[in-house]
Amino acid sequence: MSIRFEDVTYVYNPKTPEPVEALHNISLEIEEGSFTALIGRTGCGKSTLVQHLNALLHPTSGTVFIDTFVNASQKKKRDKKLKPLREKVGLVFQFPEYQLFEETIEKDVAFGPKNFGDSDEVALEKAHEALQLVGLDESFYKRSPFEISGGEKRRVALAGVLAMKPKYLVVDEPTAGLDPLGAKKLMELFTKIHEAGSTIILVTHDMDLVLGYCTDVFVLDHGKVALKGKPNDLFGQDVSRFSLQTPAIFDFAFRLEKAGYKIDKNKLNRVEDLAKAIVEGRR
Amino acid sequence: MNVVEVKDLTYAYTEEKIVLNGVSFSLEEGKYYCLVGHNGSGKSTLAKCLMGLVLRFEGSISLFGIPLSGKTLREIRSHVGIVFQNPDNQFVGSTVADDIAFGLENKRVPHEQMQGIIESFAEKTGMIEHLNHEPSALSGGQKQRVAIAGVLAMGPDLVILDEATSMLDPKGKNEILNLIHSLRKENPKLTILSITHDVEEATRADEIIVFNKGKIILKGKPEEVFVHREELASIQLGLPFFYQLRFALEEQGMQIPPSVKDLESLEAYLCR
Repeated sequence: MSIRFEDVTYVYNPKTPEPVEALHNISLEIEEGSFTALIGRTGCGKSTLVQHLNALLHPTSGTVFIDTFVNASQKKKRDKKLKPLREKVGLVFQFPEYQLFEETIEKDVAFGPKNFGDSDEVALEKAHEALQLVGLDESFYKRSPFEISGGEKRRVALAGVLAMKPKYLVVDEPTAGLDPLGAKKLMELFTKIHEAGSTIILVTHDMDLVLGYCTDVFVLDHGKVALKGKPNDLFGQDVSRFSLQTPAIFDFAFRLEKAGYKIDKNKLNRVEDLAKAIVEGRR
Repeated sequence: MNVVEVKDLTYAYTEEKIVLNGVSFSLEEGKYYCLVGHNGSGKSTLAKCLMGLVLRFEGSISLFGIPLSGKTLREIRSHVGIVFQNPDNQFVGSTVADDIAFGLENKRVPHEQMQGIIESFAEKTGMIEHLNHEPSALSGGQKQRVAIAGVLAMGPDLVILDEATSMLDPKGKNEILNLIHSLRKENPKLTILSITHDVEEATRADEIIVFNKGKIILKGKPEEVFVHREELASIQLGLPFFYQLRFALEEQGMQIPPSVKDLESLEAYLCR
């Protein structure tokens, strides 16, 4: 089981004078159980790709397989029943806090499970569980989602997706605009969900997150897969040609290497790893 | 003269929810300040008070020696420019030139002068080639640069950046920070107050004001503030990369002299 793209092309505004090809013959496989990063400059096709994962978009040509679900162009045979797919793939858009709408936080989070046929009680139970998971206790349940801080809103929105216990969790720039520890806590939460068996797909511009948390990475460039591999291998080479920043840890490691330090970049994921490497590299 | 003088500022949205609790500080002319605090620390409310968007506060605020009140708001606002967080919400013109012109039109600047002003600030912010572009053709960083151009065209003495980079990608973020630094070089009298939780940005400030639960808990130069590691961690603020690395090295038993203040000097020290 996995997510598989086979020769997927997607064109915005087809059959108009100005069609825009956002994805070009993409083939890739996101393995079940991985923590996969999708990276690339603004406009490289990341968001378009992600919207194929729960059939918000259908390929212009080619096929996307999400486990056994088939997402293909209209001409081809594709699965029409979207509900099971939407339950399986949870998509958290950028700045999801703008999508809150209910009277109370618990109702907002329970909206998803209720939509998928849960009774009020079960939906609320799932909502409470999800809120606990994102670190919001009982005192939040009955409050309005509009009178809490921005970081808390973000977590409520996330809980709304987690309440459906998606097998694949897709998060688009989840840490943008959060304070540093808020961002760290969120990433640790994803790690926890990942360890509990979910597959996480992270879209981000923050290379430090990719290095610190992800198991696999795909670099998209002009609608194609430009590179794929393990984060430590990827950042060992020059990534500036894809307008990507080098993670701060690698950047400093490169600077020291030029001055004669020997640093093993395979184990370089946290600041502590770098400190250790520096102390050892001196000898 | 102090550009901003805040004394015992207290503000509560409801009786139980006190967001600012006896805040006092002053800002000197020509300096670059970063006001940092986590989401919900009260820093945005403080910004609203300074902009005169919230007037029913207790305590006093004066800007440029003028006490802030409903009557003086107009006068004070002619000295202050604000750039907000969301690049899309503050783009009001149909093109870049129109957007920069918006404030000038409100100020009834004669049309003949306007063209020159627009071009000069589009030039300074690196947007001169995009004058006739629509917002949909611009990146977030470019839209924020247009917002800054529009603000600067009004000739402010104080620019408040209210999380102006937090919705941008790293490239857009750097564009804005570099722009701020070049503007400061050009106009050394310009005072900047940046409300942010980007600790990397704060390392470049003249002074950092750390905010928590409606109070100022730390104030000083970056190297004075970031040594308070536990305190910053306890209020959700992480450390800039340099300080993280420095502490990690010290935990490995390495002694690092206090003269090492940034990554450049650390590199030089390690490679000596």
